[in-house]
Amino acid sequence: MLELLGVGKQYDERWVLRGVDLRADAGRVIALIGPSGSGKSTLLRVMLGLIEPSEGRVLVDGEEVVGASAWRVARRRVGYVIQDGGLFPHMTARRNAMLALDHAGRSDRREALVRLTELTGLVRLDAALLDRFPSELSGGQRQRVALLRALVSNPETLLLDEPLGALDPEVRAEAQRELRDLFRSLGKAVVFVTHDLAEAAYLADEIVLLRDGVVVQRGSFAELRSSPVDDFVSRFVGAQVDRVRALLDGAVA
Amino acid sequence: MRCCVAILVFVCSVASAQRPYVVGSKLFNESVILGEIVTQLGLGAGEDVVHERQFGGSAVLFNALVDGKIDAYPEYTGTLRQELLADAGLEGDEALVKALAELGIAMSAPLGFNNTYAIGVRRETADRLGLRTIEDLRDHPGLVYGLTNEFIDRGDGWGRLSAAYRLDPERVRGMQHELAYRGLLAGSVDVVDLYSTDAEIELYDLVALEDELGFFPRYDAVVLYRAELRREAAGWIDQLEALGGEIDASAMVAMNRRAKAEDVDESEIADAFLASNGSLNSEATRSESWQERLARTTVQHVFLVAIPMCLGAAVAIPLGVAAAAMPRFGQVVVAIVGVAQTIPSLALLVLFIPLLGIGAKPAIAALFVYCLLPMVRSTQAGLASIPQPLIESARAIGLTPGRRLVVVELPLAARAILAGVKTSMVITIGFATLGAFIGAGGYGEPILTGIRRNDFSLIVQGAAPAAALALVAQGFFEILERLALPRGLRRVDRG
Repeated sequence: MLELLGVGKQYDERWVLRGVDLRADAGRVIALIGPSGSGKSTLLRVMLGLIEPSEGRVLVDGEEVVGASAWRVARRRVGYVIQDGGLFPHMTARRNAMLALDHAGRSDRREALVRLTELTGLVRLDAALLDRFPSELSGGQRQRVALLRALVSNPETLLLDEPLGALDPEVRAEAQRELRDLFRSLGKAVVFVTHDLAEAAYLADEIVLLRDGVVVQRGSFAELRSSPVDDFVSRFVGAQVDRVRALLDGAVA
Repeated sequence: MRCCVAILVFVCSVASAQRPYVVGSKLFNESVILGEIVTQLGLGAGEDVVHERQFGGSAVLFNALVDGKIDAYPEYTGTLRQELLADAGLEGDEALVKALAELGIAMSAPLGFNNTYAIGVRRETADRLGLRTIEDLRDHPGLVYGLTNEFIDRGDGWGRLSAAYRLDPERVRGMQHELAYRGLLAGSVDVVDLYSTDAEIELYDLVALEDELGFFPRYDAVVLYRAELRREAAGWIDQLEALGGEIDASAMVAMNRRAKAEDVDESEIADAFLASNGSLNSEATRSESWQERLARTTVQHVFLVAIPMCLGAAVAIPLGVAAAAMPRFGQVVVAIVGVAQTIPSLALLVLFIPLLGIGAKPAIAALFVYCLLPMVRSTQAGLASIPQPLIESARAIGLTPGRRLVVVELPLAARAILAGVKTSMVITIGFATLGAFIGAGGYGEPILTGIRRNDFSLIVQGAAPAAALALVAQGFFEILERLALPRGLRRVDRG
């Protein structure tokens, strides 16, 4: 479980995040959404300790994490996927995935190798592709390897930054469906960043809408649509409502 | 790294071995011929003597002699008085001998010629106008003077000479020495300054006008040697002293001409001179074949490049890593290393002489300093150019900074780092040829000899293998890049 309490981040006088509370529980999927510059990616990085908050606390399993070495250990319980995967080009997919186990003992690594095979099925990656280099894989395949890498150490929480952002629209719909199935079957706490309200509505149990570093409203898509707290929210939702409906209808059909 | 240690051990063991007597010589033909004569006399006396040809300039040789790094070299009394011991204000030869003795140096009897400045004209001009002495020029102000800029600028040069002899020519031009000779041949110049034993005097049939006022200081050729040689190698020194007065100006001019115009090897010239002089015992030094020279200079050159490159890479790559990790520190490092790079290469070589003496050591030190910059910069740039998402991924995975560097960052920067090492290596191979100026050997040695003797084929014997070595090094790195770079990186670059 990952929890943020009153988190804020200040860069030279300017607050890019302010007073954010967030709680990622097992089995729940949270979408961070907002216009660009709203602080959603910064928030995700704070949850991973890549950015140190200026105020507030970050708790992993109920314990506050402070400092680089504490975070290095805590991060092993958190999986992280970024846009286009962030795979290391000089390593095979297998080595990329196993690198997260670099610190682990031999038995843990053996366990992870077994899990890797299971996970390839789960993320629908042909196991033969594991011996390829990232440059020899398609964008979708790279994304699956990135998921593998995030999951191989069996983290409790999964964080994703625009996980499908680099994909073409035609494969994107398919990938969204797969991702939803994956989230459901894993039952982990999931937080992901997207700029696409349809994607957020489709994948997430809770949508957290940010503007200028502050949480404006949170809830399901239906709540945001039926009772927006202000003009910004109703405009933000209104602008994308057709696409959301199309995606949700498609999912039902 | 292990290979570096092995090389160092080898170099040290070579350096500490019992060494033969070393004769040095300056960077021009006459000095090399005289050095060769001194050497052959030593061999004739049964001593183990080697000749380090074109070892360096006057100051380099003199200091090497004082430090006992060499045992003898030919010098001129004028150079001792005006330059090397100028502060002492020495008048007569006795004062000179005494001053040298205090430094543990002995001076031979004058060899018999005075290589000073002279004023020369074509023989035809001298005959036509009846010119015999410098004073005779006074009556012919219409003659065109082509003087070297150095001579015009010197305190004891043209200004005082023209005043002393009350010369007031209409046209005086400052020009380069070789051009003045060309002008003299073409008839556009009538009067030149020259050294009184220049090969050109005989080559172009010139007359050196007499200096009746004794205006030019005397530059009597002598041999300087460590005073202890009198005890250690008495036979050699007896022969050396017997050389006094045996080489007159015309004999020296003739020998200089053979070296300059006929490309005869100095050892052969010296041998011929000594053979014609029955009173001296000598043994000819054998001159190297070109294959032997190529083999020797190649080994020297490879050492001159390999040692500083190994040490340089061992220092520069970690420096580049530190510079990339700490930008503020990086700026300072690059600035310092960059300043070292702006020092002209030859000056850098000479700067290390006071610290490390002469030979391979200062050359290696200078090359080390010189090879750093490309490697520091490329390491720093290679690390800085790694895409931020990859760094973030590495952190997110939980790698420690050290593991991150080894597993992710260095491999991703490998191509850039290799490129820097390659650049550095090619530069160093070229720069190492300058090592010959301070007696470090290598491919620069035949180049230097070739320039001195005006021998194009010798220059090629140094320049061509240096270029070839650079190409070989380049090819080696291409292969290394192909083998060492992970497949993923190669594919990415092609696509």
